[in-house]
Amino acid sequence: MTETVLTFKEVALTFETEEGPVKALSGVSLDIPKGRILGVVGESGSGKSVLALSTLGLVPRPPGRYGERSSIIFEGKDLLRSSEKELELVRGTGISMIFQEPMSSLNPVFKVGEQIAEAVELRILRKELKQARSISLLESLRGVKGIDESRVKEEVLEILRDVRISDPEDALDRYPHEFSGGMKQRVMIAMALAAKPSLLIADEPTTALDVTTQAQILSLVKDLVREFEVSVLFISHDLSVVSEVADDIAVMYAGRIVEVNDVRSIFRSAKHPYTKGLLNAEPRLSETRKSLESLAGSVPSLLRVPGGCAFHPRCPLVFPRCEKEVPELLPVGSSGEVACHLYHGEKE
Amino acid sequence: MFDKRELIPPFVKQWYSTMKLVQRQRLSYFGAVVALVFVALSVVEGVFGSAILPYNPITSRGVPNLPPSILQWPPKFSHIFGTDPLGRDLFSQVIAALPLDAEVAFVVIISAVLIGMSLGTMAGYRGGKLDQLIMRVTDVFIAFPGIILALAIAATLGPSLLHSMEALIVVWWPKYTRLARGEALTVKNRPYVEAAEAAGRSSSGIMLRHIMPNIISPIIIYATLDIGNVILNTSVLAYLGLGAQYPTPELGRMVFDFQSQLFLQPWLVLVPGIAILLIVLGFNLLGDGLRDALDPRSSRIIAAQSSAGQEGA
Repeated sequence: MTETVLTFKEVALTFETEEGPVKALSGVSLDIPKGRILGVVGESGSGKSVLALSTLGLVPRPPGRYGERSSIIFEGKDLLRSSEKELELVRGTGISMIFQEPMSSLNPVFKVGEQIAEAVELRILRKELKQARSISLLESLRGVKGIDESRVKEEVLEILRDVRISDPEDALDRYPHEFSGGMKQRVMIAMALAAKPSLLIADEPTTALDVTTQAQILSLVKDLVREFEVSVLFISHDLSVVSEVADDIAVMYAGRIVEVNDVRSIFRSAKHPYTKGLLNAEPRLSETRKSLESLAGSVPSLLRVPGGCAFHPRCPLVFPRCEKEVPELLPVGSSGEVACHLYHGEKE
Repeated sequence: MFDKRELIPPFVKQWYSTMKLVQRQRLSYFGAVVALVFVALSVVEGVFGSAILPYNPITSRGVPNLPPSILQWPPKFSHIFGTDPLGRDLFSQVIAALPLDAEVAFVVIISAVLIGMSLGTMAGYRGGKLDQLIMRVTDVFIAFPGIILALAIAATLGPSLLHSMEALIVVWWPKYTRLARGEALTVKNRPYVEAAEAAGRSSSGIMLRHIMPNIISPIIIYATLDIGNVILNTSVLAYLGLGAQYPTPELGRMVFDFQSQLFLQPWLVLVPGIAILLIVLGFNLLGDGLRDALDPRSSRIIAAQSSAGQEGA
């Protein structure tokens, strides 16, 4: 068995709303092995982002409520049962996150250099000075005692070089609005990696960027992940983007994992009809087709998830059992797991 | 190659471009000039004291014990606003009163902004019970008529300039708390705040570095247009005898002292009265201009109108 960095165990999350409970996640179990990139794919509203936010304890409770048996284990600790204080120490030190909107994820009133320096200082404070706390109010104005400013500056420059920002010396003194989207996303990646985390969560980091920048950022992420030896939870709605970076892929639908496998197997022999549908909806350069196939219907509202397999109203291969019984995520073939009645017989 | 202007923090730029727009509206421009003259006179007078005044504002011009009819002069060349019944030069008194009003206004505004911004940011960012507590207390203060509360506090503490300042601070902070809370609520949901949370910043650090710097510009602008109101209320307290005490020259106090002379020597009341009017009007006009300039829709209209005007000329 390979070492796992993060384990989701039967994570169920319900939001209490005025219209009734919304089941954002129902029984998600996943492992992220050390040093690997796990891509999570799904349509909007399938629960990808909520999964990421759960990991950092950023889901507001209430209205969010986790199931009794849910747990998210990171470094031996259950993050769902940690105090706010403990979570604060995990965030930015153990787990970092890159967000969807690089345009507005940087504070407009501080220079880029200062913002990265803060992340570096936080890491030195926690990992080297072994002080389990955040930077205090006064320290954020005057600097932290025991941390050499010139060393912090050196590290900031180094990390800017790592994310391939040309002329890092100049970039230090610039404000975020002077940067392009791609540059900002590089800065965000720099801030996330400055913490030298063991897990990096990337929530659709390339969605807001144009295609060429997207490709650059993706290859950058891939290189840096090897260099910094971090595991990654990479979230995207775009199967081709995920296949570009990920080692393994988990496909989500209506708050559940429907299929997990390594990238190759997913592309060669997808099992779940939903995964097949997604793959058919991708344009391919090798084939000439008149029109792309699309999945009929749309993602069900999480207020009213269909009974049985949530995908059955849209599934081309639906049969009576699908409407009654929720399929479990079980191993199939030589690798991978799938939650579909086509592959698993009746329970004995 | 490298443009130094890009090093100016955004909120300074915003303030500057706002002021450019204010300049294009004639009335607001007048207001801005009055406000500027007031501040400049106050600073100069505050630094140099009565040394730069034509006469000492507190001591009598003439020999004491002379009958008032000889001491009290109507406006003439050597005393442009005349003298009061004790033979003191009115012009010198009015100028001497300016730094006092400026000081009160700035102390009150700055204290109110500091208190309001800290409480408002906390209420807006933390939310929950703390928010409820802070905002309900704020509501109570806002529900109470401001000037009456200030009067009550000043009267209880005893009449003096310091006490009237304290009273005004107590009345003034709730507005800023509300304003700061509203702004904090919008900034709180910006992605960089979420990013800071995800990066393990403490909530106090997030408030100081991510919320406050991003809500300060509307607060500064609101405070600028609020200065006139503070001066007016200072004068009201002084007029009612709860502010600066005799013989400290203060505009409201002077109106009160000389009101018995209204029909005999009207300039004694009119000069300090008009001074108050000008200052308050100036700041209010400036404030109106600021508000128009800050509203994105009307700021475009101002820009369009003034450029059309320039083409016509």
